[in-house]
Amino acid sequence: MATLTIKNLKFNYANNKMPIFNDVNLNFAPKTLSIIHGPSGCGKSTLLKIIARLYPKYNEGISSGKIFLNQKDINLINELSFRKQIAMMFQNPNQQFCMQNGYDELIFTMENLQLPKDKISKKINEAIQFGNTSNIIYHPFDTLSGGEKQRVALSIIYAINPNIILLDEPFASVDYETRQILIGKLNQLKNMGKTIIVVDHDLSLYEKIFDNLIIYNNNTFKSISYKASIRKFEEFQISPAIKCSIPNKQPITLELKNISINNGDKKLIQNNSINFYQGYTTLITGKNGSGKTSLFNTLIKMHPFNGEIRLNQKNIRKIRIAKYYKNIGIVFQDSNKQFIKLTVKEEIQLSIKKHNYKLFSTIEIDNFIKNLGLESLLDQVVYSLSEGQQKKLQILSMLIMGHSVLLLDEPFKGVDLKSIEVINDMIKLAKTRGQTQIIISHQRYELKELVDFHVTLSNRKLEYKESF
Amino acid sequence: MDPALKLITILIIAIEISFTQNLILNFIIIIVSLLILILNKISLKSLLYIFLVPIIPAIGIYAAQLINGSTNYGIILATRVYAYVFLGTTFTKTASIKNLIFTLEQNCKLPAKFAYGVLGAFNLTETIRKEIKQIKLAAAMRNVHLTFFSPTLYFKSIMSALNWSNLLAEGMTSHLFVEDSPRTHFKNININKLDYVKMIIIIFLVQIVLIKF
Repeated sequence: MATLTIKNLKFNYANNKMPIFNDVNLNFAPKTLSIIHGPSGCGKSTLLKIIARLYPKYNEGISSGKIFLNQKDINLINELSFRKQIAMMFQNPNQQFCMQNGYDELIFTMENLQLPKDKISKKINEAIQFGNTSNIIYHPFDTLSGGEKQRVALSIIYAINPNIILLDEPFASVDYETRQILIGKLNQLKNMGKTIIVVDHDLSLYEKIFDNLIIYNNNTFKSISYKASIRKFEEFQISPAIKCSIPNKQPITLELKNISINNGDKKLIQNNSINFYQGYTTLITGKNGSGKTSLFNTLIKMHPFNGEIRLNQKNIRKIRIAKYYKNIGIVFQDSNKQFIKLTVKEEIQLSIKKHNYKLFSTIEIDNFIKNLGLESLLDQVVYSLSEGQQKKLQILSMLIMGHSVLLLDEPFKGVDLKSIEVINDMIKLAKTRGQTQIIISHQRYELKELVDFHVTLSNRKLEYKESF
Repeated sequence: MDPALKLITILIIAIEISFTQNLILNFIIIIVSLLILILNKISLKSLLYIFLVPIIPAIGIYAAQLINGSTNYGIILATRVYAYVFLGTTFTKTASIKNLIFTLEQNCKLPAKFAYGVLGAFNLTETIRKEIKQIKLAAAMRNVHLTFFSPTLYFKSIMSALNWSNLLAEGMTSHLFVEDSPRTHFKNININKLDYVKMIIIIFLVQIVLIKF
């Protein structure tokens, strides 16, 4: 059992005099679950990393104030015993693994914990059981889906068995059912006496197990009352299944004929035919690891497949790659992978200069930049942005390109509600100007006005559904 | 054979052939390595690769000796290039990098941070390869076509490698890796006594060839 107390914490980046937050005074008691919520880039991840003593060591920032673990200043605690007590799960699991697969990563962690050999096997088995990761633990990380990696990361946290658990957007890429199961697991951990602190943009499903909701306001993080919390949670109520129509005779853009896709030995899609329609937004959903991202990779010719895919009636195998990418674009799940310039401004200007088709006017683009909150960040290096800010920049840059078909892989991951609305407006405007969009998203709220059709991927089949 | 001992044996042989001029030894090394590689089911493609790639430096050295030195010495130098390549290939094909790291850490008392640093560096080559592919793809999506000669490609990959190395260190720390702190080992690697015997015999045989021929 451990109590964590934060006193007058302030943090600013070395090149910026304005603190990203100050006067943070918070208390976290054992057997509680606290949620930290706020707009992208307000410093939620930074706050967690300061608590985990990873910042300012691994970034260029200056913090002042004190953090106490059971009344002891955390800077006075020996490194290893500190790490045994406070463990953190990163927002991007790729940045947390240093071995090739989950099993090796678990061993590596347990060796660092100095457990004897026989205890390591036992711990590993327990952790695999807790995260329900037995079927993916030996697979190399680069073959796992985003949600599967998050489950492995959670198993490792369980194996470390710390008193204080910090989770940064732990369920951003897991499907709704898995989210339900994992939030149940958090409750289990809480009842074991752990102190749990979660950063999440999506508040759905927490209302029954949370103790404390902390909101970012006026440059600081503050707990809000139970009543105010409940009002906040209501914004995230998942509306009952939303009706949508099944396409019928619309003009076809992408035609998939008898396609089969595998990932290694695993069959993802088997002998399936489906069409995507011009000028509509189609949502694709399916469980973690069902092959949604692999389907996207297939559509951009980066994953082998059997069968035939036609873009505007032309077999894509016969279209030269440079020409093909003028027609079809993708917003990658991992924002980092999208950028090819150094600063935010350069990235946007490149898209304006190199666009395939002018979808937006200059005034519209300037408005998007402002509404997304990117205006003050124009000269920043893209790597220094928060995950949510990167996501916004990434979507804006790709929309400006004006591809006739745009694939968006988890475009709302790590993005706050207000920005989701702005992104929705942008996507909708692009659609009214003729763009075809296919979206993979686990996040279900705010999709109502955006999505025209819904396709599920389950049992190796893609199928249109009447609701989502 | 233990990967660390194997590495030491190969290094000793490589140093010896660097300072001696023995054509027969070079040929024996090439043939024995080739046999080991075939026994380890090396693919025809890799085999062709290691035969063809050293041809340029080998012929270069041979030609230089032909003009300015002696033909005999030229042949020795050319076969030496092949002997190096075959020795190296034999090592990488028969030893796993993970086991090498484990034995270096456990038996050779290499500090864990170096051991995992080496492992990281080995993974880095693969990471950079993927990174370059990814950057090309991302650029193509933006109507920028990067070729082998585009500086942007290298600038970006170096940027992301630097970024990646910092993230790796942070990730390791988050999984409780603390520099200079003792660790336990799940997989104990003990060097078999027979491995020492093998090593001594191999080095002894090399000396015999050197003296006799």
